[in-house]
Amino acid sequence: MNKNEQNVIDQIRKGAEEIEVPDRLKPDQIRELLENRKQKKRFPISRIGVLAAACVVVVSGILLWTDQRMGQKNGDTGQNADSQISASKELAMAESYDQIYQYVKSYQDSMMTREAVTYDLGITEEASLDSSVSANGFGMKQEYGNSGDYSQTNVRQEGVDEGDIVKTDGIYLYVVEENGYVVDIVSVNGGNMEKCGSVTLEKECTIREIYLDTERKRMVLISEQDYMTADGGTVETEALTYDIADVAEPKEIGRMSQSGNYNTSRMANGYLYLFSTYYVNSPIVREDPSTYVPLINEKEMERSDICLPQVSQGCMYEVITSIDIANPDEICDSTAIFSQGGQTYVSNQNIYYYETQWEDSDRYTTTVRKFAYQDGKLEGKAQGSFAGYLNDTFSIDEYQGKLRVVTTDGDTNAVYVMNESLEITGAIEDLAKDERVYSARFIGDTGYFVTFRETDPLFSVDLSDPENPRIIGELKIPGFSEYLHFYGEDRLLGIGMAADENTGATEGVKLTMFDISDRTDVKEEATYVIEDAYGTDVAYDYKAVLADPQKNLIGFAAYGIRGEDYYLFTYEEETGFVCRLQEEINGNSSGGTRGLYIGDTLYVIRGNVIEAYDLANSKKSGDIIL
Amino acid sequence: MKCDAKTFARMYEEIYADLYRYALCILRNQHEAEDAVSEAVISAYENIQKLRAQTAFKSWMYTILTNICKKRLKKAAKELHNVWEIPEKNELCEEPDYGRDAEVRKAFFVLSEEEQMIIGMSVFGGYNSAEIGKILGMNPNTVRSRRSRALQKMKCVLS
Repeated sequence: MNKNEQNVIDQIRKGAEEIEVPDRLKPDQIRELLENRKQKKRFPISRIGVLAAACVVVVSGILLWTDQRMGQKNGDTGQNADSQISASKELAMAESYDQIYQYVKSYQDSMMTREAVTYDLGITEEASLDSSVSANGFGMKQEYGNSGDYSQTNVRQEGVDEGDIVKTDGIYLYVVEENGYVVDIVSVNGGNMEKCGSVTLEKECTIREIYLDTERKRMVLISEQDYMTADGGTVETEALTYDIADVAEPKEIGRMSQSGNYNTSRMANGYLYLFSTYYVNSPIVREDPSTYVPLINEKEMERSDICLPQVSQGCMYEVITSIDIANPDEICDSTAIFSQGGQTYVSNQNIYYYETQWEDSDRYTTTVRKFAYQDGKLEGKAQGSFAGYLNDTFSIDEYQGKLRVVTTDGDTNAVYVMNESLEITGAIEDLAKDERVYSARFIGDTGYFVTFRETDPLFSVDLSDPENPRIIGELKIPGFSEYLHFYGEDRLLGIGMAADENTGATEGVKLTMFDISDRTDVKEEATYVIEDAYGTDVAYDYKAVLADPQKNLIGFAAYGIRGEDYYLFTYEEETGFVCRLQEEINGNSSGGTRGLYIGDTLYVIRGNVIEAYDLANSKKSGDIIL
Repeated sequence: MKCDAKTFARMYEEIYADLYRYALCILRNQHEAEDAVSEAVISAYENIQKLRAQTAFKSWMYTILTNICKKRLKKAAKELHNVWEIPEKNELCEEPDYGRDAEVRKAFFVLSEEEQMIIGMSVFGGYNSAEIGKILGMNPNTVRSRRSRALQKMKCVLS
C-alpha cells in the first residue's frame, strides 16, 4: 500500500473511533449472554432456522479460518476419527440396531463432554435451498412422450428429471406460490393467462419443489414440515402425489414421508428418488430404534438398509427412498448413509453421494459413495475418494462406467478418472496454479473446464484413455465462465463475468460462444457483455437458465443497479449474440426467477407474478398475479 | 479449542469495538450491525471447538461476521426489490448522522459491497491484501487493485 492510501486508511480509522458501541455488545453483557446459553444442551424448535443459518457460516468459517498469518498450527491437525471416512473402500451396512445405537451414542457423548453442541452439518445454504446436484448431459430435453414445443427444467443429466418451483406441460404452468404451501395451475392461452386450479397444503408445510409426470397425468409435490415433539422438534420430508387429469380438481392419491430436511430429488423412468438429511437431535433410547434411526412412513428403517462408515460415531443420515409414481402410496426401496453432509450427482444408472472434508491447511478430501438404481431398486456398489473439492455438480460426471472429476485442492487443480469400483486409474495434477475451477462440462470423452485468475483459461481434456487423461487445449481469454452449456453441434456456451485483464476486476455479465469443432484448438467465436449487470444466479443455480439450441433461445435473469432484469438472446451465425429482450422482473421470491417458453410465448415467473412476452416481437402479451 | 464464556468474553473484548464498527460500515444501520455481531458471537461460541488456535480467533470472527453481513445484505436487497417500487439505496440508513464518524460512514456509501468489506477489513481488522484475500476467497492482487480504487473514491468524499 502506498503512503497516500495509508493516509486515507488512517483518516477513516480515526473517524470511526468515535462510533459508540451499543451496551448490548459490551464484553460483560456478552459473557452473560453466553453463560445462559451454555445451559441449553438442546435447541428448541424455534431456533432451528437460526442454527441452519449459523451452520452455513460455520462451514465457510472452517474452510477459511486458518489464516496464513496465524501460521502456527497446533498438534491437532484435523486428523480426527471422522476424516477416516475416506479411508474405507467398502460400503458397510449395519448389522444390528445396537450397532447403530452405539454409533450415535458415541457421537452424542463426545458432544456432551464438549459442553456445547456442534452442528456439524456440512451443507451450504445453496445446497439446502436449491437442492443442487448432478450429472452430465446437454441441451434441453423433452422429457415425456408428448414432446410439444415448450421448455423443460434445465437439468444436470439428460434423461434424469429434476424438481423445480415452476413446471409446464405445454398447456398449463404449475407454480409454487411465494407463501410456500400453495401450487397454482394456470392455463397459458398464449399470454392470456387464467388460474384454473390449485393445491393447498397445511400452512406449516413448505413446498420445496414439484414434478410433473405428463404421461400418467400426475404431479408430485415435495414438501417439508416441522413437527413439535416432547423432546423438541423434528423435520419430515414428504412426497405428495396428485392425479391432475382434471386440473380444476387435483386429487391426492399418495403420500409418503421420511425423516429429515429435504436435500434433493430426481425422477427417472417413472420413479422418484428422494434425498433427505436427518440429524439425530433428541435423546436416544437403546430399546427404541425410532429414537435414533430414520423413519419412513412413521416406521423405522431396516438396519440392513443403513450404511455405516468405518468410523466410530455419527449423528447425521442421508436418507434415500424411491417411489413408483404409478403406485405412490408406498416406498419401493430405501437406504440411509451416515454422513457429515454431502451432495448428489445422479447419472443415468448410478447415484453418487459425495462429501468433502477439510483436512488441514486448505487441503480437502472428497469421498464418493456409489449406489446403482434401476426401476426403484437401490444397490450399494462402491466407495472411493480423491483429493480436493468439487466446484459444483458439473465437475463430476459418469461416462461408460467411468467417473471423471475436476477438483481444486489448495492452490492447484486436478483431473481424476476412476473405474467402476471408484479406484483412480488416471490423473492430471498441479493444473493452473493459484487458480480455481469456475465451471466444467463433460461430453463423451472430452471435458472442458474454466479456471480463473486474471484471464480465463478454458482447458480441454481428452479422457478417452482412462489411464492417461491429457490436456489437449488451453484458450486464454479475459473474464470467466461460471456456467457452461453445449449449444448445438460444436458449440459451447459460457455464461459468466467479463473481467479486466490486468486487475481481474469484473465488468459485467459476459456471454461467450466457443467453437469446439476442433477440441485441441478451441476458439472464442463471439462474445456479448451486459455492462450494467453485475451478476446472475446462473453460477449457482443452473435451473435458472433457459438454453435451447433447437429453438435458439438463451435466457436468464441478471442483477443491475435498478433491480433484476430478464434477458433473452438468440445466437446468429453471422452476428453472434443478439439481445432480443430485456425486461424488468416484477414479483418477489426467495426461490429465484424462471423463464420458459411454450410455443411462441416466453413466460417470466418470479414468486406470484407471471409475465408473458411474444417471442416474435418481444412485446408483453399478458400478466397475472397469483 | 475448549473455551468457556469467560475466556470467550476476554478474547472478544480485544476486538469487539472494531467488529461492531466493521459491521456498521457495511450494514449502515445500528440495529442490523448490533444483531449481526451478536449472531456472529453466538455462532462462534457454539462452534468454538472447531477453532484450533486462539491466535486465529480474530480472523475467524471476521470471517463469520462477513458471511453474516453478506447474508443480511442479500436479504435486505430482496426485501427492497419489492413488486412495484425500488427505494433509493440509502434509505437503508435510518438514523440521522452527526460528527466525524458520520462522515466516515458516508464515505462507505460510495463503495460496492465487496469494496466495503475490503476497506472494512483493512481499517478495522488491520489485515493486508493476502489476509483479506483469504477471508473473502479472492486473489490478493485483485484485493490490492480494488482497495486502491476504493480508497480513491473515499478520498474524494472525505475531502
